Amino acid sequence: MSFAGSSRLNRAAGKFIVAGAAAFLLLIAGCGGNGGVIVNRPSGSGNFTTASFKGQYAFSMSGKELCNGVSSFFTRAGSITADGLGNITGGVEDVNVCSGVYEITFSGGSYQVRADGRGSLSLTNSTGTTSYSITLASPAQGFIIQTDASATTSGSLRLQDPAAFSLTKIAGSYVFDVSGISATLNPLSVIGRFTADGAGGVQNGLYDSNEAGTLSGQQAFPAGASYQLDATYGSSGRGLATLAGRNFVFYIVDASRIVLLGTDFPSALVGEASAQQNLSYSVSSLSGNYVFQLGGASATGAIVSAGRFTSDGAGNLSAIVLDENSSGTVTALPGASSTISGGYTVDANALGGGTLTWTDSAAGTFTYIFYLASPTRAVFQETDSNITSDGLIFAQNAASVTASSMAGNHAFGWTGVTTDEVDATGQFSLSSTASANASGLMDFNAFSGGVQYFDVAFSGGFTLGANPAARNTLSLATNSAGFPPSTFKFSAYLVDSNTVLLVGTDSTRVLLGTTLRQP
Amino acid sequence: MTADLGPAGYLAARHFSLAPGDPVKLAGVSSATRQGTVFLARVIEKGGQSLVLRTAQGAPLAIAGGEGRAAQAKRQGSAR
Repeated sequence: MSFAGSSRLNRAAGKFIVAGAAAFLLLIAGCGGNGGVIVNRPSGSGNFTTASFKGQYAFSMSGKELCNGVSSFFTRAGSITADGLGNITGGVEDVNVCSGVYEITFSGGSYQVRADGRGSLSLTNSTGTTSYSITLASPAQGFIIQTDASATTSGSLRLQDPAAFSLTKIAGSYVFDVSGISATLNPLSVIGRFTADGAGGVQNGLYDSNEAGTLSGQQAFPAGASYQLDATYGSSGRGLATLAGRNFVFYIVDASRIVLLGTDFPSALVGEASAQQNLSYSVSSLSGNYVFQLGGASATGAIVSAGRFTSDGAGNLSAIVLDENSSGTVTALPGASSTISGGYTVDANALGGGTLTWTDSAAGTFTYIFYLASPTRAVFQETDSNITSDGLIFAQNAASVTASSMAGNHAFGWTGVTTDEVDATGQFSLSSTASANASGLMDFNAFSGGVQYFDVAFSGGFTLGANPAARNTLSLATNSAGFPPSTFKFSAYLVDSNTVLLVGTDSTRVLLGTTLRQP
Repeated sequence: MTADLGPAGYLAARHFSLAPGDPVKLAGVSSATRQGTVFLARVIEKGGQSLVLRTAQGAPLAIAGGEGRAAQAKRQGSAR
């Protein structure tokens, strides 16, 4: 990996491979450096201030914490209230950590937002204070990573609508996607859909689970599906739900979006439910151009992918382009001498579920399932052997995107793995030139090395391909004292000129990211 | 044959070191992946030291972090 040049060698990166009778060690440098918050924080361009972060925000994150000295998966979700003056005036969160699930109230906290939308946030509760870096894409949403030495997480922040904090507002159909680990420590993804009756009842619940590549197939929710608001923390939008036979706490963002955190310890899941458009879904519901992004685990480690396809509304897929990074092995499809064809089905029950398959003449067959939230959005799950990976599909509007239309300021978040989890968030500015057009700053938690880096400067280029609706590239090289010189390379798939899905193409790290245009 | 032990950080964090030429014993299963057929090691032994690398279903324990969550171990004193 590229974290070289530090004064100390920490954990080995990459993977251990044993070949034949003799052990062969593949050792790729280590992590190191100096952490700590820089007092006079620099900023890129933008119009944000601390006042931009004001109101109640729901958040959800997943990551790794040190548990008895070893890295352990954990999740957190909650709600905080920001006063617009740099103070956190209250809130509550639920964490699913290695010793159990806890509900914790915040007694206070502080934050600062700089002009480029990047900021620092600290949250104080009865166990101490945790630290985060945030990047606002707008006053209504942003990226968040935890930047403590003992834990790293990544996720999102969304402004809540307190008017939606009632059972009656949670009514209608929703699709959902939660992921994490099962009670037996396998990677687990569960996607599906349900209808909420506005009174705590759940009907027409369907789900598909994928545990370490073992598929449940589409299942009806077991008896007992329900949801209720929390009598104590209802003002935070908090509630409890039983969905797909699993127990969750939830935080309402608004009537169309709910954050979910699984509470069936030692399983740990986190994700979202989002409103499903009330349609009778059929094969014609998936028509046009789409991009997708998936992240999860294979039998050999982390796996991420992103790409695009065109659907004809009749079950046929074309113009399929895909990048997959499986434990550092990067596959870009179609290859120089391969072709891809594919198709899809939508369930006869008209509830939005479906299957999707494509076959590359060299790389083989890729299989997926989905649940449509609308004709322009779906939750997505890979169903290939030994792979547990999930994400989203978005309708794509990118054919006319140019370097000029991409110019502006963009917030981003990355998460992934080197030797262990790494998380980053930041902002970059794009000029209207075709290359060498990007510069910005980011905060980076290199958890495997126990080091947090702040205000890491970088520059590089976002380069549109010949067809911007297909594969584009983003390459960013760090040039900051204290941060090991690194170049982060991504394939970039455009939802439109405002939203870009990233998949890392470096062999030394597995990264997934998103960029969102700032106003 | 190539054996996959999963992410290296998992071994390093458990003080399980490997060097070229080390004799090891592996228990696991061969499995087809997109990168070809590999031996997915579930347990590795070296010099009397043994380490479980994967769950019974073959998932790398590094994904979950392994024993801490399973054993409901006591947490460190850090803030949550």
